[in-house]
Amino acid sequence: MKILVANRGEIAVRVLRACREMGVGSVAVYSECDRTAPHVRMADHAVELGPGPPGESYLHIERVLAAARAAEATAVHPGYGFLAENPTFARAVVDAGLTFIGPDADVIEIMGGKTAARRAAIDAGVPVVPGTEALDPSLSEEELRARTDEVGYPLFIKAVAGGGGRGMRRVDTSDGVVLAVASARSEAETAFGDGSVYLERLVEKARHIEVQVLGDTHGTVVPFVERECSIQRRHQKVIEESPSVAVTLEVRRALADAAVALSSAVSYVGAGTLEFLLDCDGQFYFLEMNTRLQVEHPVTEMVSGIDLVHWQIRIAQGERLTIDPKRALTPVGHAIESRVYAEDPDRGFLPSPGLITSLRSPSGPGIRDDGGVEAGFEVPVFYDSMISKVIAWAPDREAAIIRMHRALREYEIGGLITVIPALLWILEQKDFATGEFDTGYLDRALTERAGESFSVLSQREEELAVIAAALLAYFSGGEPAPAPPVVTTASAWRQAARSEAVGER
Amino acid sequence: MSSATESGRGRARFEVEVAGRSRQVEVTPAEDGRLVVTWVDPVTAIHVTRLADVIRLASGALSLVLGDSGHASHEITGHETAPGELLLGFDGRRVQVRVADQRRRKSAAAAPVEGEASVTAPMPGKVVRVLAAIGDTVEEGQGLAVVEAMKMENEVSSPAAGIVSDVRVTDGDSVDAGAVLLVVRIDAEGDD
Repeated sequence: MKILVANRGEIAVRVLRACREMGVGSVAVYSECDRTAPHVRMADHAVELGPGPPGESYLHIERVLAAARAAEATAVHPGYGFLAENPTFARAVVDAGLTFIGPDADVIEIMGGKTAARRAAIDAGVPVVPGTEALDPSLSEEELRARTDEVGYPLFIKAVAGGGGRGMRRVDTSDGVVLAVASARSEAETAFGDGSVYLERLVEKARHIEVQVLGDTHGTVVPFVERECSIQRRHQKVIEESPSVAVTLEVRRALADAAVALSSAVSYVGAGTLEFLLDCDGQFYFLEMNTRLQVEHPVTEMVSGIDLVHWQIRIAQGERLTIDPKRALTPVGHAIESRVYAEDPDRGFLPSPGLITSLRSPSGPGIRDDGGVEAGFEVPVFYDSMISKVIAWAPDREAAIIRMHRALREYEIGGLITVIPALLWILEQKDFATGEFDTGYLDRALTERAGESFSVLSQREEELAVIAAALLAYFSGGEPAPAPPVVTTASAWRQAARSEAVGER
Repeated sequence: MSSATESGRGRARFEVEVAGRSRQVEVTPAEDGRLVVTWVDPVTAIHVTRLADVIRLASGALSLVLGDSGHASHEITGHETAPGELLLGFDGRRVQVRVADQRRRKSAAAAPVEGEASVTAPMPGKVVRVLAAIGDTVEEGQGLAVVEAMKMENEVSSPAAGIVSDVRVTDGDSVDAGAVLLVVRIDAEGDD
């Protein structure tokens, strides 16, 4: 088997490492601005796809397939993001005579559709958030009220074609239902040209809990201990952990059973994740399934001792799953992952691409750093801002939090602004320590801070900053610091602008 | 790596601004190769003197051992974000500071035209949409352009009420951090 990794950054590095460990041939692909990226050097072969914009490189199906042909790859690992959940791509890979490391294209299609996945879950007996399909516009007021009473309050009226909160109304009692449905319809009609709406119960104080599964081609599905991913900023996960403080043994078993029921019902093959909402009463509701490897898969690997990427490859080779199901469901210790984004937390998490002038990753006992960059690499503006993930393992949660704090303080990234000061602040919060949070926690806590800097200095730190600033200026012989790296940023951008201008596609 | 004496400099003075407060800082080589750093604290007016054993590491960061603070040991990264502006990193913290060399201080760079404000890109990226045209009357905080980087869109807003006097970019342009996107002539009568 020779695997083409159709991705970049830390996940390409992660998969290529597995290829080397398993003695499997590997092919990296890269865009023009990623020529110097570490993943290019971690593969046996490397093929350029095209210019930086994803549509001309990592999202360009024909170019990825051409690269596979050129380097004589026999399989494709899509990583996450980009083409990972694109059924057209999965189909094209198979049609080209290659193995797609993931589920069947039809399964990707079913589980990727909002209503189709919901229907599959209901058919498999897996609980979903109470709700309706699209409401018939001819319903009378009484009929409408009967439907909303049946769903329960508070509830959301949502646009079928929806997105971005438009065509969405929250209803707390049956009083305002008729008016709210009418206004949601007209807003949806204006915004999307489709006025159909449906009802969905609002799960209050919900946690985001997810279950990793592996399925083989012989019908076996193995569920893993849950991951807790409630620490999110604007629906973007920031810190994940396993196990969850909110999941009892009983709930864990029920989640695992639900995950197996739905995965088996669609004959799931490969690594996948089922996302659930968990309310304060221990009730859980299926949200959606991600038909790929997830960013946060390492926390599962750390508490189970099972390498998920190795298994993805072994499953693709037709092997039977030989994992002891008890081991997969019984966590050893506790693992936490922090996502290191190149964003400025003191400027509203503004993206902060640029040249990395120096880099020292954290290490030592219980620390794993899954990075995709190194010193001298210019983080491009075209892609996701996540540059690495730090994973801390310890015998218990408290020790894992302390260890993560230690590791993030060790992280030195020169030239780039990252969210590390904000991550340290989250780890220091009492609510985080006690595990009392839901998916809205971080956004509320950030709103409360009202933009206060994450790097407010003590008197001692201010003194240190004065000394350091003067000494850096002293060493650079009158100029405050070495030549600004902005120069290279500028040239890369001019190049990008030029190739766009001449219509290179 | 280099030590203070290798840098071959004598006494030097800098104006250092940290946390919004400015002080004159003097750096003097001591006989043993360490550096003496002194300044007057802007809040307490106390004269501060620190003896620093400082090494510049291959990475560009400083290793600092402070002789009169119980040998406190620190590692500090510094990165110039704009002329005279440094972003320091230590202990997981990020601090923006200003430094000016007293001996080389020139008159301030060309000041912006009075009554005009340049609206600049906060980071490198692509102009997704320009939201104003020349002659438009705009309010303070009104969005003037949307710049995208790393799959995120960021609205750039007007620093003051006024009239758009220049638009220097169009939809789809790639821009560097600090690039001027638009110019707003500030509405003097709007001030109270």
